[in-house]
This record gives sequence, structure tokens and C-alpha cells, in this order.
Amino acid sequence: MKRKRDRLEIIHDILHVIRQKGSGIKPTHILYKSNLSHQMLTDYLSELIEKSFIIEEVDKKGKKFYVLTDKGFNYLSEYKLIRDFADSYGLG
Amino acid sequence: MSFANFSPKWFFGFDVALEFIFAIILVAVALFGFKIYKSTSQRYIKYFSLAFLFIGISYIIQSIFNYFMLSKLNQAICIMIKLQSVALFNLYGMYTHMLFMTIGLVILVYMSFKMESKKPLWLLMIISLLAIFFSYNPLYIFFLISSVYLIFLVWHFLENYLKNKTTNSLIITVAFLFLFFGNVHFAFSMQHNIFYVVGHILELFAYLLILMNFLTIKKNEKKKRSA
Repeated sequence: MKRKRDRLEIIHDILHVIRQKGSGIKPTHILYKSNLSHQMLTDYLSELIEKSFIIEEVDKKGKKFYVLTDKGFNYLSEYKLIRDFADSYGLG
Repeated sequence: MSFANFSPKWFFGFDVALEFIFAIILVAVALFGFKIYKSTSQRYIKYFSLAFLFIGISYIIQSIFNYFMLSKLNQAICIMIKLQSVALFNLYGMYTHMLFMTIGLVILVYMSFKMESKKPLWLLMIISLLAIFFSYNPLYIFFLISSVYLIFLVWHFLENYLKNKTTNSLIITVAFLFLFFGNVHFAFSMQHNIFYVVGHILELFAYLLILMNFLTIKKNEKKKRSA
């Protein structure tokens, strides 16, 4: 049985899903791929916007979509390092 | 009174050097932690880094004041700042070390609780500092309280190891266990000064393990970048 994901891992999974899409992704697509409840995803997306990992944009039809910022890309590239450090000291 | 009063004469200077090494290791890990915090914006990482920084500063203070005592510079400084008693100067050093170390340990313990509210942090801080600074034997109370905090930290890191089962988490658990035993020995150093030496040696093992963990993580980072 897969162990419960911690905060850092969930953030990684959400950013990874957004990066995979490349040009911007809708909230429902993130919901399907991230394996989170609607409420949890909403909370995480708010946190990621507040902390500048992603930005929320609106397309011509008025639909919201999300794009990674440099900070978000940086998190993904440094994830192994973050993971090792957090696991050592139980900071997840 | 100062910590160096508990040192055997042959150990003078070694304690200064060791405390300085401990400070370097702690500050290095703290700065690395702040870099990780910049990437993650996760508050527990910020608290962790802050805690290590405070503990590192406490060792710098201890090292400096022990050096002043060893080199008799404390007498010259007292004259310079017009302080009447060298013992009072040494006492300031001891209290400042205890203040920073206690703050660092309290922040670490608070971080391990993973609580949203900051009230427990302030409560632990106030109670610990009041107990230490208003006690008839502040040094003994300081070692007692810090031992309690260290055993809670060992518990936290042990739970972390049992959850993650990584070598790094095991190294940190063992490191903090050495810190706990080192701290207990310092409490006994008021009765016999050999415990002061043993305490320093146990702390050396602990901080070398923390350094080893830090260098392993940095090495993996370099490997990944070059790949």
C-alpha cells in the first residue's frame, strides 16, 4: 500500500502535472491527475499562487488556467535535494 | 562563573576549538536550510534553519567567552567597558549562550510538533527562559530543560526514521541521541570535570554526523547537476 504523501510531495505532484501540460492547464485536469479532493486542490492552488509557484490566467473564453513560474520550475529541478533534506530532519 | 570553570586544565583551548567547529557546522546547515526555504516557502524549513542558526550562535558565544577566559582577555575587556567584576563578564557570556541555545531548542521542538498556532512556541519559550534565569542554579536547570527538549527531538527524529527508513534520517536520529547524552554529561560536569570533556566528545560525534549528512546531500546535488 502506497504511503500517504506529505506536503512537499503533493506540491511536487501538482507542479509536475502543470509542467507536463506545458502551455497551461485547467483546474479539472490537475484534479484528475493529482489524485486530490476538490477542496484540497483548491487550498493547494491558493497556496501555490500566494507563494508564487504558479500564476492563474484567464483565456479568451473566460476559463481559468495555471502556468508555472520560474520558482515553480526551480522547485521541480531541486526536488531531489529538497526531498533529501526534508527526509533527514522530518520537515515534510 | 563560566563553562570553562568545569574544564580540566589540559582541555583548555580544545573546548574553544570544538565549540567553534560546532558553530561552523550548524551555521552551514542553517544557511543551506534557508536556501531550501527560499525554494519551498515551507515554514517548518524556515523554523528549522532559524533554530540551527540560534544554536550555532550560542556555540560562537560560548567559544568566544571561553577563549577570553583562557587568554585572560576578559580582564582587559572588563577594564575597557568599565565592568567591575570579571566574574560578572563571564556570567553574561554564560547567560547569553544559554539564551540562544534555549531559543534554538524550543524552535526545533515546536517545529517537530507541526502545529499551526504559534502560541505553544511562545509558551515554551517563556516558561523555559523564566525557569532558567530565575532559578538559584540556572546552569543545572538549563541542562535539565535542554535534556528534556533533546529527548523529545530524538523521539521526533526516530519517528521520522521509522516512517522514511532512509540512511540520512537514521544518521540524524543517532546524532541527536549523542547530543542528548552529551548534554547529560555537561550536567554532571559541575561535580567532576571529566564529564565536561566527555560531553564535548559526544557533541563532536553528533555534529560530525550532522556534517556527514549535510555533505551527502550536497554531493547528491552536485551529481544531479553534472548528470
